Amino acid sequence: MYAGKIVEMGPVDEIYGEPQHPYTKFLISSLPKIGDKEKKGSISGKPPSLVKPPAGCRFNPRCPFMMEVCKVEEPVLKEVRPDHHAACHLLG
Amino acid sequence: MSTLNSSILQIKDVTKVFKLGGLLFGSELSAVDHVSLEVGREKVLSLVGESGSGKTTLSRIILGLIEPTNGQILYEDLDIRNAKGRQLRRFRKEVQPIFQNPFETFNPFKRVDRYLLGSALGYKVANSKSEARRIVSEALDIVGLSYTMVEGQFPHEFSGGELQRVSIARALVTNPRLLIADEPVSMIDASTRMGILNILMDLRKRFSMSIVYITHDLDTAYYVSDQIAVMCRGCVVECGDVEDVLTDPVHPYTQMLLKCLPEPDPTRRWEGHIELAGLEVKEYETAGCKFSKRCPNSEDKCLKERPPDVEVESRSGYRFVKCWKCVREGV
Repeated sequence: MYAGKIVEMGPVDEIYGEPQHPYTKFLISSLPKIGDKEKKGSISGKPPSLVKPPAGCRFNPRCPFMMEVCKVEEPVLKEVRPDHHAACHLLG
Repeated sequence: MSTLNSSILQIKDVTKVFKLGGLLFGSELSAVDHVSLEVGREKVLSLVGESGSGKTTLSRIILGLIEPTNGQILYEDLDIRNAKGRQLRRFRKEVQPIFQNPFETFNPFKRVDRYLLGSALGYKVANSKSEARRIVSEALDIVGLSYTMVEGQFPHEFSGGELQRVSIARALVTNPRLLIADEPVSMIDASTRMGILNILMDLRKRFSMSIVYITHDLDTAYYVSDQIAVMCRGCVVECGDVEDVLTDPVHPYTQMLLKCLPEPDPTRRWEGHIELAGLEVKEYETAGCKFSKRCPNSEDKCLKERPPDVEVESRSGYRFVKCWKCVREGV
């Protein structure tokens, strides 16, 4: 969930193994792990105001893959694989 | 652990005994039990262990908030129990805490910028309001915020991650040499946690600070620290270079802690199991090794006698483990 909306939903193995939504990808790649000293990033910016959420995709101000359409049109959950849904304009 | 000059803080045989129960029939509990550690200059030392292992008590002793029953804390060459006047002020300026819950760090009724300016003036790092404002803005810049972002705001108007940044900035106002960070990210959500840890790591590099990082999270301890000390019921049971200790643990307690970590990989289901000790206090009262009641290798001697520190061969400096099995079988 991000800012009150489900952005991705599906089998646990797939969400962890092959996350589709940029927000899910960031969350998983930012987890530190013993044996991995590589610098981990955090998601830039901060969670948006829920009183006045950003237009279009609510994650767009923080998303590095942001396109014009993301600012105007809210993405809907699409089935990217059987039982695996994600809401992102990048995904077809 | 290292020579005198290379450490900024030395903890020497520190013990803290708390009294439990009534005056006549009460018992005693050593929350910190003969702990000796050193924090290297420009190094990060992690203190890890379960809840109730004495990490926070030790951090409060280091900060001078709790007086130890025995032992000595040396900051540079200053024995902090005897520090008074100017020396004590210097210690308070140079050794700064960062606490777990930023919403408790700040007074909820006081605007955050006022608080920061007050710190700059109170610690006498600034002589005028304009100078205080300059110092506070610099501190806020370092943590990725700006003065205008905090001006006139109350603590509840920030998110947890932002307010924790502000509390790091508060610590930076006095230009400290040593930070004592007690679970600084355990209340912060995953998406901003690494940002806070990266700030701490930057501080060490840019300003040559030393850090004591207290946590129960071994993954973040591995990420930020050079040295690690594993605490169990007041005792340091294993200590050394973080790479050595966390990738090749010797003490059964460290091994158990590492086994208990769930991995964010569903194909590798968590197979560790937690042995719950009946009573925390019982473990504290054990005459021998504090872990002996839960240890799979426990023998009679482990229950009765306190194990000595056994030096373990290490690629990268001093490493020790407090375990009878290592005495019996060698390491």
